[in-house]
Amino acid sequence: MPTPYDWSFDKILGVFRFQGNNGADYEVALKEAGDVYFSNFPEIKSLSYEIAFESSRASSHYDERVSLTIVEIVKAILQKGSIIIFVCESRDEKQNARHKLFANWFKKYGDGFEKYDFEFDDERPYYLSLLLDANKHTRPQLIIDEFERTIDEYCGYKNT
Amino acid sequence: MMNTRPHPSKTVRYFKQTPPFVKRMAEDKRCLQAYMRGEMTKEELLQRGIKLANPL
Repeated sequence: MPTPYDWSFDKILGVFRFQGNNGADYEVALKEAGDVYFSNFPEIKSLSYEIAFESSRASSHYDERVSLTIVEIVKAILQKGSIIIFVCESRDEKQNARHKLFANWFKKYGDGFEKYDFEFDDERPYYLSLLLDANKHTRPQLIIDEFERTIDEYCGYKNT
Repeated sequence: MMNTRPHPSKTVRYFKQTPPFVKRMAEDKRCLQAYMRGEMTKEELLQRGIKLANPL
């Protein structure tokens, strides 16, 4: 049974770090977010973070332990009552693959958590997701509604 | 407190232009990745308004 790698927060670099069996270093960075989506709700805004991942080398094969470790870090953050927002971007045309990977992770490991996806069928597609542990929030629906309302203000027509 | 919520996930599709703040998020994410690759400094992130955080 695969287990997560040991991970820790590097106070100097300001990122979560772990090393895979292939010798690659993996990092998870979070930035404060929420200004756009929750400006009217300071108590929610202060709980919102955007997330990014990076590895020191391209992996030659799928390592489930890497996925498990990232999932463990994300779960630890969500269980603290934080909200994670992430975007799959289109620069390298791999956004569909990333979006499917995150969807697969959520299906496999996401019990007890909630994920809301927003897809933009632009010239190049963007995928935006919000993750939370609803049990850690007194008004989880308000968070989702406010997030969606902000997007709706920019995008009139949608198909759910 | 346990919330019983009927729909733990949802997908909304928009057929209009991506909001500028979503594109900005994507740019910020690229900066974070550049920082983790050692191609940007923490000061450069701050100049873009990107403040690293540890929610734990």
